[in-house]
Amino acid sequence: MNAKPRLGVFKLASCDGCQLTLLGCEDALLALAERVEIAHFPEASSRTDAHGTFDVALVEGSVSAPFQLDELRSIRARSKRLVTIGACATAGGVQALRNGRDVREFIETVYASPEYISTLDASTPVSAHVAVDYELRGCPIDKQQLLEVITALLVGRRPEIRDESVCLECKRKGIVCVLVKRDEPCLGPVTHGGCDALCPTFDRGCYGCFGPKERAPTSALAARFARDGMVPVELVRRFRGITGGAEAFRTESDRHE
Amino acid sequence: MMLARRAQLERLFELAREGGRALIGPTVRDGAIVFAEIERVEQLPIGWRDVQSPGKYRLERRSDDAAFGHVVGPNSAKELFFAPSETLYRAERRPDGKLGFTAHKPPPTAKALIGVRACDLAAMRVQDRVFERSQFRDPQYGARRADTVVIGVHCTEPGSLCFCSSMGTGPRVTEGADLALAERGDELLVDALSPRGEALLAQLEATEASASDHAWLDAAMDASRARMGTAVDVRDLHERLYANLDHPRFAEVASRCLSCSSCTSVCPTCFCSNAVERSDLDGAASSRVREWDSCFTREHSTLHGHAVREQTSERYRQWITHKFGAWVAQFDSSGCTGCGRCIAWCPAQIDVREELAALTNNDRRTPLPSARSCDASQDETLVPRVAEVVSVARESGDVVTLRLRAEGFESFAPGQFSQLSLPAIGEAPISISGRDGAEVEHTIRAVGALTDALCKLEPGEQLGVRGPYGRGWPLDELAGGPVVVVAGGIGLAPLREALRRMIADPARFTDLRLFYGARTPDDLLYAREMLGWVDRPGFRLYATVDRASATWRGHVGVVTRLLKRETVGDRARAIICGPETMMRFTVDALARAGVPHDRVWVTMERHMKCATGLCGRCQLGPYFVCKDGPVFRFDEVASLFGRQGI
Amino acid sequence: MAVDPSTLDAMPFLRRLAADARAELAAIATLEEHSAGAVLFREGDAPGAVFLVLEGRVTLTMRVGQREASVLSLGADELVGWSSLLARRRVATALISQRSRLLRIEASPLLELCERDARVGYAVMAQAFEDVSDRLVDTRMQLLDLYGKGASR
Repeated sequence: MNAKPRLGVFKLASCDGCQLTLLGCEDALLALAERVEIAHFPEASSRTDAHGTFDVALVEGSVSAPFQLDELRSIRARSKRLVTIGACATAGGVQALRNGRDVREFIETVYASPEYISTLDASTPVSAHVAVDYELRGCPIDKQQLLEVITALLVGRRPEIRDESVCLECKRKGIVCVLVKRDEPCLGPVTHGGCDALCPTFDRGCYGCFGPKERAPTSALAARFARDGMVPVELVRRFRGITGGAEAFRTESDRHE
Repeated sequence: MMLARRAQLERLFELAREGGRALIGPTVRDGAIVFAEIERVEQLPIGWRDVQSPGKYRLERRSDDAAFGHVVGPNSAKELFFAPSETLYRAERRPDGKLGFTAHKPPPTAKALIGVRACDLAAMRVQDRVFERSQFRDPQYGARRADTVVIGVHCTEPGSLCFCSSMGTGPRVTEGADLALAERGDELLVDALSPRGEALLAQLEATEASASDHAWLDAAMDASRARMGTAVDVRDLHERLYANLDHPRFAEVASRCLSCSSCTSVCPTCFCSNAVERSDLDGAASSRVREWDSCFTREHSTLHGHAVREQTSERYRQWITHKFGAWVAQFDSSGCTGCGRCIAWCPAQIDVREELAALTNNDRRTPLPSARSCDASQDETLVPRVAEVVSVARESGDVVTLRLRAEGFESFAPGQFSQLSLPAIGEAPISISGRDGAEVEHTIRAVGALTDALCKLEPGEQLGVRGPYGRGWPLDELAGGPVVVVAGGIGLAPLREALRRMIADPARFTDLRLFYGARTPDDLLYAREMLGWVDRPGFRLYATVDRASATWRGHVGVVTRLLKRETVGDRARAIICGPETMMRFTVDALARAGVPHDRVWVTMERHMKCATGLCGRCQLGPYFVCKDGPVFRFDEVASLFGRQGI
Repeated sequence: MAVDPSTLDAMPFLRRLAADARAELAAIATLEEHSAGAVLFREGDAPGAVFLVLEGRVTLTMRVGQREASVLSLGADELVGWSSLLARRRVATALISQRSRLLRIEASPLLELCERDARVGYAVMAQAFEDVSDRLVDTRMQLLDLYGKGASR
């Protein structure tokens, strides 16, 4: 019998929340361990082996410091399939809000001994540096989507993860649109689904943590928000959130600055 | 018509729920009047109205306690019968390697609906036509829809987004319900529209309505029509839309449209779906799950990894020309009932009535074919049958022909296709390249996960198969005169069985020529079999390749160059299969040789997924390629063929 | 072998020419027959004759590294070697892949005749233009790699 495929979970600049999603798979995680050898997963166990080659590497976090770039290249070189997990790894994360600002000034304000801090000027997604086989969105990622990506890769098919709006998920679930019923600014129409419409399910507007969907006409949505009375400074904030580093959201927030 | 106290609603609720029926009606929930299961009269939206404008919906208190003094909310009866997400079947690979497919049947829950407006009753009729009276009947829909009691309500207070009177569907309930109610203060006017309605009505305390009651209702309906919002000019609307496919308004509306799919999701008639494979973690079993989809998603028009409709303008055009246009040719009615939901629930506040007016602001008209009658309706569960691989022939580096032992192909006609599937991987349409008794052949090129896995199957292994589907080559129409067959690449596969039958019938096919273009000499399919044909009198074979080494002594160049060299003759009839670009050039070359469009047949590439015309993906103007095609006489599709974003 | 002007009558594009113009053309043309394997000219050769295929097949090949690749085969009524009309070196090798009968016309007398007699000049250039245009469209189709992965059904 063939050896089980080797799976590695790696982290760059991130909060570990996406790794926690994998841990939170509970029973499914056990079933997964039957099919793959989880060789490296520091969030789960200190008995790990980050060396050698991987059939699937899950990479969490953005590239934010010089050493992460070297680590990332090494992971890529040793992995057959590299899947980025979460908003940091796919769009730079909330830490990408610093991009285009004076990073030195931030460091001096925040840290007592700024000389110890080695950081890059920008927080960038993994795909800005190495080839990525699949990007899994979200802050954090969705458990079902993660399992789907892993099972699909094991079978050798394309993951059934559709690049469509959160609106479709709301409608399938029968959620009453918060934007239409009370002008709640909701990014759902331009945001990639996969969260099963989590925020609208709790009667809140989507804040776009899965990042823009393909064809994300953010300006048409911003126009709606403006008609409802939203002022430019608030428009900037709406699109400059957890995935504010993603192209469509970044340009829209910049437009109102 | 009878007159009852409104308090009789209590009794009506009891009667409707008899025998454990789930009663579904309007109720206030999450800031809207939604259609949901209710048990008591107090759960009706008594004393509420919904105020709607483009992209806005608000609940307001009424000054009275009317129970039906509202219009329509975000959802409709659609979700009750056409589930937003449902398992079609389970597929499993047993330890001995054999496959099993088990249909998943929805639990039979009898329903009663109350408070359904005329527009939504019309929507139910439209969906019944799509799911139950098309070529294929959807048993999942049928199981949910069967034995539903429907109590309609005449719409006395239309909203500002309503245009049912334009679409000819309301405001009066005239069909599709068992009972029709009108609310007048603390009274109800009740009409029975079916024997079941008569039986229900007989159990209410009611008296015969007077002439003045009848007059009141007539006047209320007239007043309702008069209060209706902006009207839509529906005269020849489908033909006016198809005459304006290049209207600049499409680009303009695309700058406002979010392509978010809200309109299609709230639409009570939109029926597009996507079926996906949900594999279990152990990889041995999977579920085939069908979900609501929308023509506004990229995936909906994706073909071979490329989206046919990349631009929002193209998707908007797809939606509006289908809903108000092609629908008429497909299902003999508009796909719109005038309920106004797509306007209210559009986050971008687009008003379809304005768009329709702007898009048809001229006198142009393009005729569409009239709807085909579909009396041969058959149940289609979408569940595969198990087939077994008998033998595998390697045709070229990445192409194999699988010979399968499978039942159900008795009626096969050359040019038809099957749906081949493997558990946990997926399903795809594959043309049938031959049939011999109980064995059918499929020639498959490894281009993705499923086709890769299919190409790796070995004799004795099993797979899932559905079919045959679609319309094949018109062999009887070809007989008698010269026939030109033009094939490109793997496009020879769906032509092979047609060629075999023509070769075997020299009396009817005296002059038969095959022009075949492939990438390289190694990519020429069925080379050995074709060499066996060349001795047959009246048959000539012309093969050409795009590139070759200098040792190749055959033709090098595109297939149309061969056609140019040969005298085709204007009596010829032609059948073509290959990539769309190749077919376009071939049709032009044939036209120059004197063969008109109505003597050329092509087989269309579209994103076929369900094979039954129900997932909506392969729609091409008035047709669904999977059931109206894939073979079309070229003049039927000429105006849409090769057009970007259609 | 000298050419009987009636041979030219068979060429569709020359049929439009007046008889005297066709005779002028016949006067500078010769008939050739080649068996399979013969080479008319090689890639990189100095400009020379243009050929009209009367019957048979001529395949154009080009050198790619160590390999000789066939790019186009030409048959009856088609023009071979048009680049000589532009006084350019041969861009491909012309290999006889099936026994062929050809009409050979040296480029310099042909160009002189074209200069002298506008009727001939127009007919020859119009034909060359059509041939080159067809080849351009065909080449684009080949470039699209219609039967390649991801492009075909």
